[in-house]
Formats: sequence, C-alpha cells, structure tokens
Amino acid sequence: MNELAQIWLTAIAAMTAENLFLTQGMGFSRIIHSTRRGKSIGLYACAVTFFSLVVSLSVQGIWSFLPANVALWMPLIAAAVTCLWYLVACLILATGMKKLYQKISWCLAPAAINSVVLSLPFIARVKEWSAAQLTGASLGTGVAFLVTAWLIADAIPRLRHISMPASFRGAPALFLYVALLALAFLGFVPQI
Amino acid sequence: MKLLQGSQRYMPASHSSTSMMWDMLAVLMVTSVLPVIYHGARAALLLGSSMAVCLGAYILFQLMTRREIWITDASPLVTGAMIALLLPANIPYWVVFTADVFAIWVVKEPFGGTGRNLFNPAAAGVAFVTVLWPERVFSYYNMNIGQSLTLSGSGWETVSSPAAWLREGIQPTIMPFEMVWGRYEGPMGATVAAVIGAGALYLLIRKSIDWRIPVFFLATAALYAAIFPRLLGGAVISVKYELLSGSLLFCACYMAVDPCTSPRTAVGKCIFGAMGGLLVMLLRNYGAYEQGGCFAILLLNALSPLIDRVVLACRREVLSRESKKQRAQADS
Amino acid sequence: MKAKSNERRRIHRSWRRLFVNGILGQNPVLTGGLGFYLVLTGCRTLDRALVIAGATFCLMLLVCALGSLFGKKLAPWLRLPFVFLLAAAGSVPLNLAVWSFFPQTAAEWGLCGILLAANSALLAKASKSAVEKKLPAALAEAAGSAIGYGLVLIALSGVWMVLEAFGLGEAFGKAPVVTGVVGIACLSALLQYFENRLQKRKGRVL
Repeated sequence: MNELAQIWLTAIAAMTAENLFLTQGMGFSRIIHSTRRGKSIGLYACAVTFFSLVVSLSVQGIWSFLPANVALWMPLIAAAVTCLWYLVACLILATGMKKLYQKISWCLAPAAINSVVLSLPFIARVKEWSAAQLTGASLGTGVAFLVTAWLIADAIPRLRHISMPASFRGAPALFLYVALLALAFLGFVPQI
Repeated sequence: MKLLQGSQRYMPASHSSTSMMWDMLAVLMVTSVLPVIYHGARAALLLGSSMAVCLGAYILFQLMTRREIWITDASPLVTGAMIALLLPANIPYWVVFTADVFAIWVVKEPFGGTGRNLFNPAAAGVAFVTVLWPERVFSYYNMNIGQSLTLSGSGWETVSSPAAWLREGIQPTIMPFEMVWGRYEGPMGATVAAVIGAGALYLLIRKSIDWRIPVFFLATAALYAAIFPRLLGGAVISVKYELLSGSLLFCACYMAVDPCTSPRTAVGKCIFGAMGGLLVMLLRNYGAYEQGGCFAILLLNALSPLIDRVVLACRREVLSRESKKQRAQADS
Repeated sequence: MKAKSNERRRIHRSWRRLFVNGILGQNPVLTGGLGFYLVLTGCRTLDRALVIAGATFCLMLLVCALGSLFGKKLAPWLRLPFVFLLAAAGSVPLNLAVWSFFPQTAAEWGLCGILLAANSALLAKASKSAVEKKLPAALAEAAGSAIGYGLVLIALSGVWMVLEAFGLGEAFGKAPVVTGVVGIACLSALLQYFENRLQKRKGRVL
C-alpha cells in the first residue's frame, strides 16, 4: 500500500512540479520528433516510459558496483545500459512481435536515448529513492511526455497561418508556444 | 503601413469580433469604477497607462513587422485593462508594463493577433509577472487605514489577502457579504464580485459570451470547495469564501470565455468550464501561489483544441453507431 | 584537367555550403529545436556557455568523423545507439578536461556534463547526416552545426548578462525555461527574417 502511494505521488510530481520537459527543458527535441507521426505518439510515450524505467532500475541495481567518481563515468554507464536494453527490446520484438516491431521500430532508438536524458535527474537521486519511487517517476514522465506531445502536435498545424508575421511562422511560433506551456506549468512549481 | 477598420480575423460567425471586444471593454470600464473609488487616482492611472502601453506595444509591433493596424480593434485595450485589474493597486508601474509588453509581443501578435492567439494574453502576462515578482503581485496595501493610495503607491503597509488566509486554512475576518462589493485587499478589479456578475450578465444578454463556461467553471469550483473545504466552518462558508476571494470570478466570467481560446463545441465548453473550476481549486490547494487563476486559464487554452477534438470524435462515433443501427433495422 | 579542377571547386563549394548551413539555415537549435537542455542551462553565464560550446564542438567533430567512417557499415537501426556510445565514450575525457581546466564551471554545471553525450543536436547530426556523407563533408557540416550551436549559447548568455546588469537576473532566473525559450524564439525569428529576405532577393535575381 505504501509502495502504491509512493508510485502515485512521484508520478503526480513527475507530471506537474517536476515535469522535466516544461520545467527544465529536457527531451524537448524528442517531443517534437514524436509529433511528426501523430498517431504513434502513444507508442512513443510507452517506449519512453519503458526505457526510463528499466534504465533507472538497472542503474539502481548496479549502483554498489559503480566506481567512486561515478559522475564522470555516468554517461558511459547510462549509454551502455540503454544500448543493452535497446538491443534486448529489438530482439524480443523482432522475433516475437513482428507487427508491433514494424510499427514501433522508428521510435525505439530515439525513445531509448531520450530515456537517458529523462532518467538521469532521477538516477542522480538513486541512492535516496526506492524502486517504487523510480517506477512512479518513470510512469509520470511517460504520461507527461504523452500529454505534452499531444498538445504540441495539436498546435503545430496552427503555427503556420498566413496571418502570422512571416518571421514567426513555423519554428519561432512553436518555441513561443512551448514557452507559454512551460509558463502554465510554473503554477505548480514551488519557488525556492 | 495601413490603418484599417472592421473585423479582423476569425471569430464565431454569430457576432462580430469588433462589437464583442468593445462590449468586453465597456464591461471592464464599468468594473473599474469601484476600484478607482476605493484606491483613488492611482488605480485610474494604472489602468490607463496599462491600456496605453498595450496599445503602444501593438502599434510598434505592427510597424516593425510592416503589417496593418486595425484602429477599431479594441483587444489591446481589453488586454491592458484586464492585466491592471488582476494586479494590486499598489503594484509598481514597471511590473504592469512588463506584463503588458509580454502579453502583446510574446503571446498575441506573433501568433497573428486578435482571433489567432493560442493563449489568453492577459492571463499569460499576469502569470509571467507572478512568477518573476510574486512578492509584489501578492502584497496589498492596507485599506483599513482609510486613505486613498498615493500616485507612487510606495511606502504603505502591506497585508495579505483573504486568498492567502484561506491557503493557511484560516477564515478571513471579512464577512462574505462584505466581499461582494470588493472593499478588501485583493487584485484591484477582481474583488468587486457584484459588478463582475452584472458585467457577465450584460455580456450574456449581448451574446458576447457563452453561458456554459462560467456556469460550469463556478459550479465545479463550488463543488470542490464544498467537498474539500480549506476552512473548518463547513461547506457553505467554504464555498462563499472560495468563490469570492482571489481572481476566480474574474477568470470565470471574463477570461475563460474568450471565444478565440475556448472550445467551439457546446459540450466542449461545458468540459472546458468544469476543468477550469477544477484546475483553479487544485492550484489553490497544491500550486505554488495563493491564486492560480491565470495559470489555470493558460492550461485550459492549451487543452481547448484537444477537448474539441475529443468531443467531435465521440460525436462521430455516436453518429456512425446510430446510422449502423438504422441500416441494420432497415435491412431486417 | 579543367574538368577535374571544376569538380574539385564544386566539391569545395558544397563543403562551404554545408558549413554555412550548419551555422545558419540549418542551425540545430534555431531551426531544428535540438539540444535545448544544454542551451537553456548553459547560457546562464558566459563561462559556462563557452565551455559547453567548446566541448560540443570537440565531441561533434569526433563523433561525426567516426560516424562517417564506420556508420555506413551498420544497419540503420544500429546507427543511433552506436553514435550514442561513441558520444558517451568521448564525453568521459572531455569531462575530465573540463574538471581539470575549468573546475568552477564543472562544479556549477550540474547535469550538463553528463548530458553532453545525449545532446540531440549531436546525435541527430551524427546518426542521420554524417553517416551518409564522406569524411570531409561530414566534418564541414559538423563544424558548422557546432559553431551554430555555440553561437546560440553565447548570444543567450549575452542576454542573461544584460538582465544581470539591470538587476533582473534573479527575477528572470525564476522562469529560466520561459526566458530561454523566448530568447531562442526571437533568435529563430531573426534568422527566419534574414532567410526570407535572402529568398526574396534570389527570387528577384532569378
């Protein structure tokens, strides 16, 4: 029960006050990348959740075997763990679930890399956090990814209108939209 | 550079955008009468200068981008008035001007101006300065001293608003009945509940706003306040204080109803209003600031097209099922 | 003979175009929205911006070079992880160098050191573009992109310096993502403005 509560609370925090995309600007480019295939955003979000979870749990599992100055080696460790899980996922999907693999193969690698970016802030706390908290954080991050990607995917067609100044059409308007979305989420973020 | 008259861009077909904006401006001007009486000339100066800065920012942007200037477009004035009315009367002028410039140059004009903005400019401007200078946005001069505010607005004792007391779980000393006329510490124009209600009624009669959004907004907020009261006095007391404190009423009646940023479908508007009420109460209880109305409006604006899409998809699904049923009946 | 020198000139012109495009027309941040986290965190001070720009430049050249040499031999689904491993391996000596020569910056930059390897601007260029090109072209494009990335960092750090000079650094620092992304949007709009003017002029010439 306690673990369920931990999962729930960290998931809510990951969606709001600790929303990595909108409060810290992490993984933003992957969200834009995912919006190019509107109908597969859900699959992309699932892949992000899965990889965030397995990478952070794996690093927690091997924490005691890591070198003393772990911060220096963290990129290589996270990369190695991520690539390993990516290969495992590709192997399982390509052999056992071919249809799903065809649908999802385009986003597996970016989702795996993205999970490194998204799970690193939580990995940095891995000594203090339980497995339940890491699970909740990964789930919350996945949901936040999905909602943010949906919102941006919805907005993109409206950001090229002829009535906009030519200099702002497309990418500049998209950045302003993201900035305002980030501003909206600041209502949840306590100021230190 | 051309100066143009007439309606500008997209607006619901039943009403021209120009008349809608002028209706809203008229209502905001009426709403500002009591604050000017309570707070003196400073309130009028703050309001006037905010509107002037918004108008100036709009004209400057149009000149820089070599676009038309719509002289009958009242929306910069509406934005300026809303921003001033959502901030305390003793706030420094430069904070208000920052909100004005942010609203016009970042939120409104880059997206195509009136009818094309994706977020409510006034809500975004106020949210921006709230994040940057919360200590200025949420400190109100003590009205019990009995004097009008000086033009500089500085050097006055500041006190908390009823919204801040509610956040601590303390019942404000002012009675709910006294809160109706707005003579207490709070955002300049958001406290005059009676006038805001009358203004909303006027806009409804003029068909400038849809009734669904404010009704569902306030009903959901009231329900939340009744079920999860922050005060020990019971559900009724909690509902009265929650609805009358802060900028909830102002946001529900004047900002959430913006036709550019709210859903187009009737069911969507009901969902939008309900979500608004819920978000405001969640932000009040768990958010970073004592008032979260503007942040809730921004979140709603982002969700508005998604709400319409879901409603239309459900409608299509229902219609296709009905037509399948009819075809099956006809076949049999 | 003449044909050979014409061919060489054409190739050199294409490298120049790739280099310039990387800085401007296809700037990874301003047109692609890549590498946001490092830009938003790295631009708070000029020192940090310069260190991150330099580190990104070195890493991008290294990874794109190796990607161009070996990436073609791999299946498409393996290229991104391969490039990522290269970037991660390359970031270790870079982090060491930053800790040795710029300890103050390294102490302040938080997750930036770790995320150098996961910079989407670097990974996108290396895994999609560099693997399809020959080494000199890949290096030209990588150099241009890295310089473009660095210029955005430096420009934004200039904005923060101005805000600090007016005593607004602390206030705007409460909304770093909003401030940073609005700054990027303005730079992007400026770039687009000049691109549009260039296109208009070319249209007139044609």
